[in-house]
Amino acid sequence: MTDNTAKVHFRVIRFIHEAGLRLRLKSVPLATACIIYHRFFKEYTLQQYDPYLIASTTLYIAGKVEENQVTLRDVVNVCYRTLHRSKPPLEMGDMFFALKETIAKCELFVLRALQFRVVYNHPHRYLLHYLTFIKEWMEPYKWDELPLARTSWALLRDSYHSTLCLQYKPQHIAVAILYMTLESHGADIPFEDTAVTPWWKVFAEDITLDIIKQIVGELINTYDLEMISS
Amino acid sequence: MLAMTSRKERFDNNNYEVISVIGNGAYGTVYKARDKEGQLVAMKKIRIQNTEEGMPMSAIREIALLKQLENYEHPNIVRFLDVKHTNQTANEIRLNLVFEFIDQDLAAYLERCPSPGLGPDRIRDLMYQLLNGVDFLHAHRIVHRDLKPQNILITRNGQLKLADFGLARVYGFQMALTSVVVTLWYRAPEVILQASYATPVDLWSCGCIFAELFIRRPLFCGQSDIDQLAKIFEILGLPMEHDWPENVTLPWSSFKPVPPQPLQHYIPEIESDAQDLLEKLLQFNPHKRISARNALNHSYFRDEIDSLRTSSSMSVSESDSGLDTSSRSDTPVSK
Repeated sequence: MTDNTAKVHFRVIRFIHEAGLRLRLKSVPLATACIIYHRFFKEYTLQQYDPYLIASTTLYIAGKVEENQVTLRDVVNVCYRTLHRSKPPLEMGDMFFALKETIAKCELFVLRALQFRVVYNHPHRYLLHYLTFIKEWMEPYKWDELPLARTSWALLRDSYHSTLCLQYKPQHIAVAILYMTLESHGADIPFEDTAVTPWWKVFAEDITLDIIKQIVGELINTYDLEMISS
Repeated sequence: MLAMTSRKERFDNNNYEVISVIGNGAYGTVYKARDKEGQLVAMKKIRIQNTEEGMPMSAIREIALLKQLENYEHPNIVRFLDVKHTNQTANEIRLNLVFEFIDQDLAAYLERCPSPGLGPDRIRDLMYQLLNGVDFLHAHRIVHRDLKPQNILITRNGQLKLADFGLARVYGFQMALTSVVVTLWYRAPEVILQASYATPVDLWSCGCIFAELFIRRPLFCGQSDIDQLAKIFEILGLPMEHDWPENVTLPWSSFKPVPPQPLQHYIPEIESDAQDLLEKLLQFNPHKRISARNALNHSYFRDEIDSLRTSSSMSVSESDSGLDTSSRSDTPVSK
């Protein structure tokens, strides 16, 4: 992937997040939209398809797949508004109907291109599960003091700017996110020094410190990409 | 704006040659076909409503779920090989769903079985595989809802595979247009009473099929909804009033109180462990009915479980159990 392509995809994923939040999509459907987008552009190039059309379509499909359905009308209006901030809102007219029809047709196209592989096992539920353990292990005052849940959730959301979600198991991503969260807050797991099994092995048996560091490294690269993309 | 034609050939190239019609179900026609390599497949042609809003949510969800389940390649689930888009009109999208071809269903298997029927070990093996497949579906939040001998397939090697699950909502659009009578014989009482239902409905069907493996004919052959319930109560007795579901149109009092009959009268060959499991499967109250996971641990399968510990050849997928125990749920599924 060239630098330029990476920058375009970074901006489009940010567009998915912005438009998705305005459409009131929840975390998991948002993640699904990003992963559908990444999978699509793993197969096709930016020269072949307009990334913003594909992105708008993935939001629409993700809403259906995760039963967080949004109307096509809202997708058209919100995506248009997010993309063209300086222009006046879209009027009910030829343009509106043309965009609506385009997304409806593009929906089937994307589904066929991905062979309907649009249901994913996301890291979210694993992360949530692991966090409840961490909460149990920590001193209550420590847990209250540190925004571990909020940080890790934000990191997870940001991780979708990269293609981590296509490369690693969801359990591994969740563990690595948690690792990075603890590191960035300088928080320790109680009795980790004397424990026989490191905490991350408890959550995912087949994970190694190398895998964790790889994932964390890629995540940090994504933040570097942010600097040059904005 | 969108160069959709450039890849058209790749999608529309339908690499299957139709050989014959296998069946005309409530859900449309199923064909026997051959793929490029000469492998036989079962192809279901389905039509999905196309609207201004695109494909219906239910159709996308269900097909995508089937696709995801395929990742596990469960031994007791029929393989879902491919989905092909054939053509579309303003109102309709046509898809071909391609499945592995197995030429024998449980109904045919039982018909072909010579007297005096299946031996107890064969019955136990089939039941174990059936419950194992059902447990896998339930662990992935799928309720089959229409388990019956016609959609349980048996391979030449005696492997049992479930088919036709998860598609009820995809086909929903066509269902209204067909007048095919769907069999009631394996339907759980809460479904007939139109009360809320969840995974236990499949265990009821498993119970009916279990009995059928012994007697080689259906246990409850009702001609109508009411008749089906009457046939059930004739054998199992009228349930207690407090087990009757709430908010249903048919009141408990509309049925004659009858005592339960001993199951051995109907199934003379049944041994005591098997009978105990059957009774737990045919519990009127879905909350008291045994789950697939617990049924697999029932003492009836003791030998099966022991042999699993010594050999890993049996059909159970432990590989995904660590992954998905968190999603296992007996809560009602909104389908």
